[in-house]
Amino acid sequence: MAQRTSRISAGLAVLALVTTLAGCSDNSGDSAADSGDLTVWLTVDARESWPDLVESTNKRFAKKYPDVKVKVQYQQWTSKNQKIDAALAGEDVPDIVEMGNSETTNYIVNGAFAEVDPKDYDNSKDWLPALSTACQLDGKTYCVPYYVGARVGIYRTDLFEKAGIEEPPKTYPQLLADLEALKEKHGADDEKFSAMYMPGRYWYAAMAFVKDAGGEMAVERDGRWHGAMSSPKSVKGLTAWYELLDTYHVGDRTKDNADEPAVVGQGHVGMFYGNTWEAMAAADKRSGGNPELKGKFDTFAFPGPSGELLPPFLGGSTLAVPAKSKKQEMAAEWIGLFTDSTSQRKLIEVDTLPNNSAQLDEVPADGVNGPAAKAAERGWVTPLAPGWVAVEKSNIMQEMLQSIATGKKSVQDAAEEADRLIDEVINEN
Amino acid sequence: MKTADPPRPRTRPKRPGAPGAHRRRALPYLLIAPTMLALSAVLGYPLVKLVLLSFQDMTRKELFAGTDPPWVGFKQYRSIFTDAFFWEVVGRTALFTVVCVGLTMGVAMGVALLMRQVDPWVRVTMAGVLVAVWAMPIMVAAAVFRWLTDTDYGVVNWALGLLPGADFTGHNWFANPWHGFTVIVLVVVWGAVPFATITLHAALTQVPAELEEAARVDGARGWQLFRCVTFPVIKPAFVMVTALMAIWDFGVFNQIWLMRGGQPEKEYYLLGVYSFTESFAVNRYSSGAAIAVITVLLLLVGAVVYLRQLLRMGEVE
Amino acid sequence: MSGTATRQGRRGRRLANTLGLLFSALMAFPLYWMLLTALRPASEIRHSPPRFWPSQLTLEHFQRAMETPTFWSNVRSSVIIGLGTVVVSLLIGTLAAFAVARFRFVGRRAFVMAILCIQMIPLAGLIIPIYLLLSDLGLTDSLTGVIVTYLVFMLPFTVWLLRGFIQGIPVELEEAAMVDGCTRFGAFRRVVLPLLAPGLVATSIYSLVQAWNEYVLVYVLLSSNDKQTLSIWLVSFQTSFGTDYGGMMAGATLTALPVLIFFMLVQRRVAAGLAAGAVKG
Repeated sequence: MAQRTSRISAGLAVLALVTTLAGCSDNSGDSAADSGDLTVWLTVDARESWPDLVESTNKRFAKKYPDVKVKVQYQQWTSKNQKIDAALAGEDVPDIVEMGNSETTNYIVNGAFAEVDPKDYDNSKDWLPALSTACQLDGKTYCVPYYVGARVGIYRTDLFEKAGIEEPPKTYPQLLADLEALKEKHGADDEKFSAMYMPGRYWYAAMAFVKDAGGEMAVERDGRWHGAMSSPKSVKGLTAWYELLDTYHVGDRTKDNADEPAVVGQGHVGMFYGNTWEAMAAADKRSGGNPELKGKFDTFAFPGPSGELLPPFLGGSTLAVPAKSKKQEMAAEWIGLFTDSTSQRKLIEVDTLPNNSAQLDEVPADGVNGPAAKAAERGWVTPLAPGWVAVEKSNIMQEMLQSIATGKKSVQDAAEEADRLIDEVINEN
Repeated sequence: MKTADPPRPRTRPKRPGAPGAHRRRALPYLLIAPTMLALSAVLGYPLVKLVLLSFQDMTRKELFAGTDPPWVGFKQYRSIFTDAFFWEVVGRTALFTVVCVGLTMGVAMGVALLMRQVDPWVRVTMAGVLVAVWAMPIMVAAAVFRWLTDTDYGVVNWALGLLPGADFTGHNWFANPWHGFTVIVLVVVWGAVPFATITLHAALTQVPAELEEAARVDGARGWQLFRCVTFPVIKPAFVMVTALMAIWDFGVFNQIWLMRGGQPEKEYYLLGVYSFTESFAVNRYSSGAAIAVITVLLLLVGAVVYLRQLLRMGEVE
Repeated sequence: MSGTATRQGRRGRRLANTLGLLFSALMAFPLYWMLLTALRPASEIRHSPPRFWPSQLTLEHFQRAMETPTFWSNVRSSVIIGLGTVVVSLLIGTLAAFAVARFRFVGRRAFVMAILCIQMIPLAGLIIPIYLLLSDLGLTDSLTGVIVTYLVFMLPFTVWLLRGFIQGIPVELEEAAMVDGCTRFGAFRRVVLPLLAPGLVATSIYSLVQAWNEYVLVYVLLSSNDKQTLSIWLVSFQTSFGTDYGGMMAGATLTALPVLIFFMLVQRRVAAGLAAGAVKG
């Protein structure tokens, strides 16, 4: 109570101040909450890769609500959550927010989002578990799957040809043999040549090896989560990853994959593990790539040491309605349009995987995304522990991998250290 | 720049506000009222909130729901003070501050003195460069320096590789925190030198030429001349700039955050970064608040000496 | 220097000139690299060994940067926020500085202490409380909210600097004007203000640079893309596809340019101004 009044009196003081200032500054800001606007926070991917989908959704939405202006505001992945935290703490919240599927749990547990009814949405029975489980808590659903991406192997067709390799590898031994051939052929006269580009902090790749070996990042026992990086299976996966990196990666071992397309675009990389769009980005100027490499990339389903396909992380997005939103029904309808079968088809057209398994079949098998759709069946998600976001944000995985990759620590030591750090934060809300 | 100096009255100010000169008691309060109002309104509430927060245990649940978090007394402080990592960060921050401030002030003083010795056109060049650097957004500076020290395509590695016997191909500047901090210190100093140099150079223009000439006639040379004649005149400016630099460097956040791509490793934590990640990454808002409070307290302790000196210089009454 | 320069003096000067130019070159190199990256074709940006001279110049990065949909509205926001902060902080700050420099009053010392201490508060820790406060007032996603917030972070330094300037103006001048029949305010306006001009300029530079370049707070406070400032706009060159260094460096050049021009225009006054403010401590 006391806090409330002090806030109000402080507020009055500021108001007095502001009115005296009003003549000096142009105030073009009216707050969105009071107007008839629907505020949507999407990440920049939508603006970069499927602006048409946003536009067509807004058009369809306008047919039903001609008076409502939809304000789509684009956020950066790296800093969006701190902004969302601040916004959700206040009263003036956006009506729809996009959330990565590894970020949702913590927000749901803390009551940030309103419940949604899956029956209102197309394909909700076939939603990919990687996305829908991230939206559920105690049998209720709090967000709507939007899209996923799965990683695949991407290789330079011309370099393969020169090294005498006819087709992309189907098994892990074959993969290693191909890398060896690439290294032999191109590594001799190009000291920067990486047969396999695998930067040290690329944890989605390393964890794929852990999963392939049957390991886990964290496990739940008696209601509490524990790090599991140092379990024998996980260590086996990490070791396989390290050996691949150590033998075929040349260059910076402390980077993550953030600038992967730009690095690959320099032409010193034979093969890498990435999202399908990275093949295009590597030939796109906007991302620092090299247009001359256009058409020289192809994708394949990456085989894992276990003999099966390397299980890819299903990184994806969901859409949620904040519990404090005053236009929850309208927001739900907008999401419905934005994620229905028609919209999902548009996503498939721009080489993105849909939010449901039924439409995975619509992904052309011989297109760049075909291998990704195939690999997606073995896809995994990060542990659905309340503190997992904190694990990611404090870079525990990245630092473990970096000390392995640079040889600072043995796999076992680094993994044990990581488990200790994971245990510290993973159970916290 | 020196040539441009307008003729200014050399009369020293009389003691501010001789008693009896201004009888209207209310006037000064009216004059500071807007400042006080702005500060207390916009900063007061958040500050109180910050301190309160450090005695609570705020999680996202309370943050989103707007309910009051439970009071936990000194628990946050206790767990911070007993954490060896925290003291490591404090030590690192102190060392970082000393190195940055020392380098900045050393370079700035040297360059400011140098600017008195050079031809006008050189001086204008130097001033132009300083001003251009000063106007550079930190965000840009960080991006440029990251680009310069890039492991695979950085100019720095290439240039160092030209030295005989040195091989810096693929050297990663951020793998080893000592190397990484070398780069970060460079960015910070690079960005801070212009302000310090311009201020000190400006202060140097205030040193009466007759004074130095007289000392020179008396046989004072070089270092002696500087220490006994020049420096005392610019000392207030020097102290002020040093203090500001110390405050800014102690709380440095942006440079580290940006240089490490928004994901600084634990070895790169300084107090500012630590407080921020505790709040926003790990969602321990109260712990982050407590660290922020401790940072201010540490600065205050360090500043007591400085404040006393400043107050003495400003208020000889 | 007097006309009869000795040979030693000439050699000393040449050495000083060389050192000065060397220093300038070192300081300017990052700027040169930025411009170079902004002006060279994309294919040359990542080249090893690096080339210090472009084989050809291109404006494609600048063009791409300026064609970003929100560019001009972001320029507008930056200008409004920058000017708003500077004007208001000078307005309010001068009053307070005048009080501190010219009057003795109970609480003056405390006020000065508070002004100094505020600079020690880490901004990052205050983001959420500030957001909540502005949210209660309906000032989030509003330029006014940002100006008000910046204001409190600029004011202490403004007051501090201006205080030094005002102390540098002999109080007798004012008294003389008042004897001649000016009111207190009249004396301030006719006598103090003109002499204070360099100080005001120096202080405004400081506030402008700060307001223009800040991005953590402004990012959290402003969510409409077209209301955001140039420093946020710059971040958009880091896409999930990678960093567009060419575009970013072009954007950086564009961002720094207005401040730089303003700086160049007033730099003579800045030097004089800072001197006075600083010496008087």
